[in-house]
Amino acid sequence: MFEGMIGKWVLIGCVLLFGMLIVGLIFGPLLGGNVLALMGAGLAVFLGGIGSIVAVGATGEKAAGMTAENPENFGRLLPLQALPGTQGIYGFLVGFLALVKIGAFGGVMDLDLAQGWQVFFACVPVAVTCLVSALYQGKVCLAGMDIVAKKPEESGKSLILPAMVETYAVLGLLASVLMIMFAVKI
Amino acid sequence: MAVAKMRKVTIFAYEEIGESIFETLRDLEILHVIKSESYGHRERGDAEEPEVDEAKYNETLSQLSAIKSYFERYTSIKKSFIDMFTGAKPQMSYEDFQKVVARYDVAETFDKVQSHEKRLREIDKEIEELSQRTQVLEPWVDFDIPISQMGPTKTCDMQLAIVPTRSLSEAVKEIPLEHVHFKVIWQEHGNSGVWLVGLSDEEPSLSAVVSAFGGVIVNLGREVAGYSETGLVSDALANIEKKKEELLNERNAILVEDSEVAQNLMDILALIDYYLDKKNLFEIHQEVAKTRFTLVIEGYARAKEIDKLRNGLGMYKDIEVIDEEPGQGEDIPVLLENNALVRPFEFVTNIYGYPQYNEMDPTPFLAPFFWVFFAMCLGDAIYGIILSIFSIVFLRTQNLEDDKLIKLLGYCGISTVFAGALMGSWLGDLPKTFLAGTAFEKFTSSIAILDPVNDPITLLIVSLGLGILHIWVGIIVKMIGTIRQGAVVDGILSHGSWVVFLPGLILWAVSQMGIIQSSVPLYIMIAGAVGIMWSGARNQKNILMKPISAIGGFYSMLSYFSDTLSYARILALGLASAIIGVVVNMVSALVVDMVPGVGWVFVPVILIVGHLFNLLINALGSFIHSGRLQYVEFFSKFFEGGGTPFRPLKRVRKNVWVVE
Repeated sequence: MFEGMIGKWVLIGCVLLFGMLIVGLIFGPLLGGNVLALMGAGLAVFLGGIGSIVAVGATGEKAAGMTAENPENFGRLLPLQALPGTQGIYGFLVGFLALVKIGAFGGVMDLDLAQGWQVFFACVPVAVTCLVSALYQGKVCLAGMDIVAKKPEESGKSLILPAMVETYAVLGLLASVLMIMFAVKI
Repeated sequence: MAVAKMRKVTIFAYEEIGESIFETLRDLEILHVIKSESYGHRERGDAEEPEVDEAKYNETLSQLSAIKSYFERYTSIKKSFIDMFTGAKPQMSYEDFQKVVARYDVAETFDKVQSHEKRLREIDKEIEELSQRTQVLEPWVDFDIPISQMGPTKTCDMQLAIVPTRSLSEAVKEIPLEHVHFKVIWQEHGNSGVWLVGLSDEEPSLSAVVSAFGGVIVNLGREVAGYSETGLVSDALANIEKKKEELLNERNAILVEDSEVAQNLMDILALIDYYLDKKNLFEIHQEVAKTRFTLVIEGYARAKEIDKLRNGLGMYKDIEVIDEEPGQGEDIPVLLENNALVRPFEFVTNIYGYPQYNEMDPTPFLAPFFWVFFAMCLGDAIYGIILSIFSIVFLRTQNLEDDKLIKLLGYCGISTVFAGALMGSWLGDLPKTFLAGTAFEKFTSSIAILDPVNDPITLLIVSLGLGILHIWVGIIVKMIGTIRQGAVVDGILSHGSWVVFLPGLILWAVSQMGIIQSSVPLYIMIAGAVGIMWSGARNQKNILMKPISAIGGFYSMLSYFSDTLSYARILALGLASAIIGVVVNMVSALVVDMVPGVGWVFVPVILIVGHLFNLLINALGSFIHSGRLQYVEFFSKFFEGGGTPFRPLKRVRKNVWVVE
């Protein structure tokens, strides 16, 4: 069921991204740079969040069912459920860094349009990679739970396979962080 | 520091002492028994007696598991939250275990459990049925004519009926009721219970009256039957109540007895293990080669433990134990042997698999890198201290079957302290946020040489540099492995030239940037490049194709390059944990101003919860990604894997840990 929904969630993410882009393009001059930057920060937080929510939810559901059958496996299943949760954190992290960069905590928030767009686009890599990778990592985690069920002594392997998917979220995070820190000129 | 040397062991013995030998081997825990191939299986079918044995074990086991699930309704073995992660098993002393095995009558307990279970079901069913009777009779409790008198007599007819209350007043007008007397006994939920008397011969009959009311005639005879000598509803109700009481008492007695017996759940678990062990030994016994009178047990044991094995089997006079060097092409089981410092890192290797018997154990090579990578990913001194303390406390308080992971976390905690101190991260930037100006803050900032948050490029270079080193070591290990297997020229040319080329390339790049002034790196690089081209061209027969193959030798450069970039994750994870730490501190500092006066109260709560969360989620991430760098980037250079793990014959310990 979850596997079939991945496309839908990615689509929702794209709609959010392009919706914001269009809003920014049309109303940007009215809204000002601050709003554009905040939209970017928000985008990072909630696209990453959506991916993690959906994936952790799906993995948690399966983990609960498997724990009901064999409570001994709880300790092995918990890390598998937690794995796709990191993308939400990466998204939040970039959102927070963007807030720090634009001076939301003390300091004057006064960005022109170009600066606003810079922050917005700096947030896009982490937002998109986190959304997609969390969903697909969730899928691998679900499959990994079968390893736990059938060969509990091999469950270490089930942790490594999802980590391959996470690589690209990590790279997206790195790109966004570097962009916000060095490429965005404020 | 390597894969343990094995000896192939063959034991010849009389079939009749087979069972006892297997038990001894099980207690010794030295011999990895293998299925016989060279001697061939005995045909199934001419081994009728053992089949019976197996059926007996299976029957006992299924009885035990029925008893277990019955007992578990009453009691359970208490398991702490931590045990769910460690998989710790309840302990039992060897004497207790022996006693249980000797005296427990499984069949008897099983019969008792079954009869109790059956009786409980019956009681429940009976109570259910009595409750239904009560429900029907209850409204009629005040009706003081025996139910047995209901029905037609010579001249009269007497009936009880339930009719809608509403229709009583309406229908009365329409139906001629001169010959019918009726009395309402009870009224409830819009229905009324009515007692009717009428003359038998006169129209309308009672049933016609009742159906005119829209009601039904009820016959309570069935409900009262057996519970009322007088035939009165009130008597019946009292008797039913009494009967119910009796049944409940019986049920309680059974429950009390069972919950007492169920305290022996541990015994049942131990017995399950005992019979699983029996079955296991039996199955292995079936798998080894045998003739009519003799038994041939084949297996592997560590070369070091051969004498121990011989001593352990010394009590048997009529057996022959042969140990020899294992032959080529045999699937020799692998046991990793490392010193105490490296052993915990076997956990990382084992996640991937075991090396082949004639391969090198990668554990000592990956250990330092894993240690450093984990530290850089987590990168916080206090988190490191917490990890180490957790590890020590855990090892002290918990009785673990396999303590490698916890020890590994402890080791990595130590390296994390160093990494955190170098990066100036002590619970994020806690010293700067809350302890600015104190000696601690001055101390922490004086030893910090890297600032991942404000100067990530330096850390990126360090990460990539470590990555190149890691890959380089991987190639060296491959070279050594190839040479050890006898292909000296191949090892030096194919891998050795890369070992020379890579540092040459890097040093040359550094010298081009003007950091070092020397032309030596250029020569090193050229020497390496020549080697690579030579090895590329060497195996190409076609003269014209040789130059192309020579250039093709550099193809690996592409994969080395992309492998190196993969190490950027160290920086990203390090940044993630550092920044989340900073965020936690920032939020807790903001709270102080947000809630005037009492804001300080929330600070420790936010700090503890936030940092604990950060530690957990990032320790998981650091472990997994440090592992991945070993498996994908490092192992791909030299490691084949796929060996069979060494699993000596042991007692089955599924439920209970028997301690001597």
